[in-house]
Amino acid sequence: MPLKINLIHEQQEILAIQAKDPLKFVIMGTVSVLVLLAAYTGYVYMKYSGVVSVNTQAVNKWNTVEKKYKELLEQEKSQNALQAKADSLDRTVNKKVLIANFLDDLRTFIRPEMKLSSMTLSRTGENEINVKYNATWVGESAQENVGKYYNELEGGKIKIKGYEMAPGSLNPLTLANTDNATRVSFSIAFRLKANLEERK
Amino acid sequence: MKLSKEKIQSLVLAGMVFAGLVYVMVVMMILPWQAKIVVLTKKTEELNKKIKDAEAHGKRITDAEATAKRNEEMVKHFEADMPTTPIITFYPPLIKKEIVYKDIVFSQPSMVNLSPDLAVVGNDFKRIGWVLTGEGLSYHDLGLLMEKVENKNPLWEFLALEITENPNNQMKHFFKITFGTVTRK
Repeated sequence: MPLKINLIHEQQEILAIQAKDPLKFVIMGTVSVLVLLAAYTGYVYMKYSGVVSVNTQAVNKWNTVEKKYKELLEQEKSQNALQAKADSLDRTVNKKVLIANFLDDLRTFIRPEMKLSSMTLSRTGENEINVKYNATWVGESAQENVGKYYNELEGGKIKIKGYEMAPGSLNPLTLANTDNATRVSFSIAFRLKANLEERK
Repeated sequence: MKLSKEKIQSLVLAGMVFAGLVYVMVVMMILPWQAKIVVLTKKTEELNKKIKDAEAHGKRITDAEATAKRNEEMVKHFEADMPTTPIITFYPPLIKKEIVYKDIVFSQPSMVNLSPDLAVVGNDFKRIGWVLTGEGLSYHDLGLLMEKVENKNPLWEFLALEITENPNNQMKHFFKITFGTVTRK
């Protein structure tokens, strides 16, 4: 039987050792990690590019919108100025308090027994009317009747539609020549607040 | 297995290159990009909200054009009644012309200072006070006169009335009228 001699045995051993070389695994592992990392970096870059693109679109849109918006804001300023003018004129025209109808309705406050010597009506800036009158009650039990009349005023029993007495505005009753049973002079003063909605 | 000196040197070099690459990718690329993504996303959201708000506000302004047009016409209409000449020469003859009642003689209208709450009419207008006195009007006549003036010029308003009895005629009183005219500041 011929002798078999493996002439490349040594070379095969070297290759076997090299095949089990841990360095090879380390290098392969390192390369894999680098590839994965590069892939993730690419992913993040793509995402970043997308966000930049969306932001650029938004910026461009804002630049377009802003130009028009600034013009509209200027327009709004003049609209507001005009609105303020119109409002003040509207108040002047439609929210008068001392009007002809009021003068007519005010007769409700005057009794047939009362002889007025003077009456003053003046409006304030708060949609109120200062009412003041001096009168003489002519009739039986004049002083008592003036007292009753004052109590009715105080109790809010005498009313005009669209106006109400401002709380606490009724001045204390002042009487004169009380020694006369049938003629008593007195003064009444109070404020009426206009309820502009109710008056409509 | 024993590593040769050259191999160890190569491994150290390769390790340094690896660490360098990881550093470049992570610290110089991934982290800044991620930070920018967060910032840009927030900025974009804010910008989109700003655009949406501006568009909605713009729509409201555009929608208000009809009201503005009406206001403009209203202001023009009333401003046409306001004087361009000095008020002290403009109003008295006009008032004398408008405040007429049968045979009643009214005094010359004289200008009076009004309290600020009556004198100020918004930012653009002011109210001027005028006083007239006279004799011979009844309470009823005053109401009719007031109605006439109200209908004639809506910018005119009675601010105060003072009626005093006339000992000679119970129906024809003494009176003092304060009324206001609205004009440009």
